[in-house]
Amino acid sequence: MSHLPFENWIFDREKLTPNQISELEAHLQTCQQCSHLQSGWREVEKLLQSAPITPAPPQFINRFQASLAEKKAQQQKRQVRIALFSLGGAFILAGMVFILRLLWTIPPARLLSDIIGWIALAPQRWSEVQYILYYWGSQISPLALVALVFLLAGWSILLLTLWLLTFQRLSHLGVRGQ
Amino acid sequence: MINHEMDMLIRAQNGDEEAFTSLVLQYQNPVYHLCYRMLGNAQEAEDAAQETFWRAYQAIRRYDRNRSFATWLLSIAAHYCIDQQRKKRITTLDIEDWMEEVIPDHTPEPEKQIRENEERQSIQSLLSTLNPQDRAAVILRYWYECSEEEISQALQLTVSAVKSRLHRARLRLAQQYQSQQYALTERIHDESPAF
Repeated sequence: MSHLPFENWIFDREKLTPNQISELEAHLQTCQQCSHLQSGWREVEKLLQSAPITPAPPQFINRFQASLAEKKAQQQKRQVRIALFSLGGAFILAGMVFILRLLWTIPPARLLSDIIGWIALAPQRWSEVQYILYYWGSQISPLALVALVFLLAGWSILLLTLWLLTFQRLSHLGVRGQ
Repeated sequence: MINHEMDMLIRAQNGDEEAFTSLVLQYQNPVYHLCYRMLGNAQEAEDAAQETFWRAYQAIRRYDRNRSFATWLLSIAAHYCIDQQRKKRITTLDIEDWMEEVIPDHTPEPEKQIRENEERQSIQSLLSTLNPQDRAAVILRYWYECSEEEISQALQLTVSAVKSRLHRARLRLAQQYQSQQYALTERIHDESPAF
């Protein structure tokens, strides 16, 4: 015996027309299988409809807040690590590109001799720099010297503040500001 | 959506943690219940509910306010639980574990508590016979009164797929219930003293 569409109708009684309901009832009188299915489904439906919502355990919200703080801290650490690694990687990459470019444009033997020459002449160059500094120090007026010191100190303080602010942002707010 | 809830949502989307916490407070029971019905274990359900809210917290800025927030949240929970169930499938599910699981209740009426626990276990053992997606569809339909369209949105299925899943699940539940009843009757019959 075909149980379609009666099998579907058993589960969707509320959508049936009065004619379909009487057709279904007539079928249920003759079909034991569908009749059993209907009684089984009615019991299951009763169980489903009578079962209350299971409440969340006590202190669920407190545990959520604690775990949120912990996960945010972990995520922030991960972000800082990624940011620092990316920055370091970028520097290394830039350095490698610079070295490769040097090797590409200057023959290695000449590069090596230039480096050795620079190292050998370093003390002489340093004394030249010192001489230039002393010379300009004696030529420059005291007021301009003070202004220069202030200018350098100002820039240093500005850069230091920027660095501190970035550090504070990274350590307190995370890279993405979450 | 209620104005207060919308206000909380806007604030949460702008990074207000307090507003998000109040949303958690409001939705902790429905989310926990879905997880409990999906996983059948109180501890796993709590972990899943916590994970659901963490995922929601991370994705709150992408939440489309034209959608129902409850459906969005339940969708995250259902997907997480379905994934957990799939992972767990390797280590086969033992129905006895479901039967033994009893949620501690602090109601002063022990008889009511026993009856509720029996019903809970009975439903849980029936639900455990369904595959995770069918189970999620049944839970959303019968406990959250979601329409087939809402279920399809939550589970990312077509409406016709939801209809066929619901049909298959109902059929399975009815058959399973009957076979459980039959087994119970047989056991009582076997245990009854011979006169």
